[in-house]
Amino acid sequence: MDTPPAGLAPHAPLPRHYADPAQRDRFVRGLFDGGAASYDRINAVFSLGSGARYRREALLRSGLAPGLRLLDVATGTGLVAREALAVLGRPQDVIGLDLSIGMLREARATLPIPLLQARAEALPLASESIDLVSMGYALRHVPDLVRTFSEYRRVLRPGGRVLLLEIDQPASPVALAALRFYLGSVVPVLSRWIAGRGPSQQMMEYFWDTIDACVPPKAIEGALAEAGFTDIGCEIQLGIFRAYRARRPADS
Amino acid sequence: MSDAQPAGGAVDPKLLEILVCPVTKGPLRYDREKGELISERAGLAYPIRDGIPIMLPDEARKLAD
Repeated sequence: MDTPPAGLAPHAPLPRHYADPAQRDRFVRGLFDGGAASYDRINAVFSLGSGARYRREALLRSGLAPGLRLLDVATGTGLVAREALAVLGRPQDVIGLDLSIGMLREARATLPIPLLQARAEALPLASESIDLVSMGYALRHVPDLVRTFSEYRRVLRPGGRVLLLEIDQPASPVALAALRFYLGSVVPVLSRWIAGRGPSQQMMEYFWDTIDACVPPKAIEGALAEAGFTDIGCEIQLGIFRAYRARRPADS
Repeated sequence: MSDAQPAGGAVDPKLLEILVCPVTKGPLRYDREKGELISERAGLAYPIRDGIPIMLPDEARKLAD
């Protein structure tokens, strides 16, 4: 086999959550399986990801239009896929993929789209079969950004686009302190209040720790470039909501 | 209708057209009776559960032994 590219983990290991880096994969899968049932309730209360309209507009600005086919990686309970379906109309044109079967079962309960259990960095889809790859708030959970983005590029047709929605640390120290307090302390505690002590509280604590530890936006853009994407850009709203966009070159 | 229901649940035909083995990126054979997607080259049979293809090597059945 050919040698893989250098690679870039989205964050350093988090020993508070798993003792050994080798345990990260199993930890993350267990976390999402356990938190799946209460994820939507928590998300609705805190507007994490700033709501359905934001997600739909982000898809539209990436050129999503009826007749195209979208792959939503880390589809979770289907919050991004639902907006994509509203744009595309035909369920068969939206494919939802996740590593967590618990999340996929939640998606299955409300969405008529085809679903797949697979890894973002080992996609089970033919090359050049997809027009737009979306991924909402999950970059931090893949083992390697360059390997993952290389797979996105492979399944995209030439000229196809990728849209990555993320929460990132704001540049201002005051805003960072406020966000750290809100996501690191308020949300986990209120999550416990909404959904009970246990997996959902742990999931929200883990989310914040991965945001806090995530590589900077420039590194994410660099990983996109290394994977062969062009026209790389990033829109920021409210200082923390980032929409990374990139395109597979038309002549590649 | 229930007679025609394949094992593991129905998989969207449009999805089947573009599914490949996540290891080899090679073609898959759909075994409707068993509800499996078979990658001869990888020697793996990926299960389908509740209509969801489970495309993970560690959850697949090893072929031929």
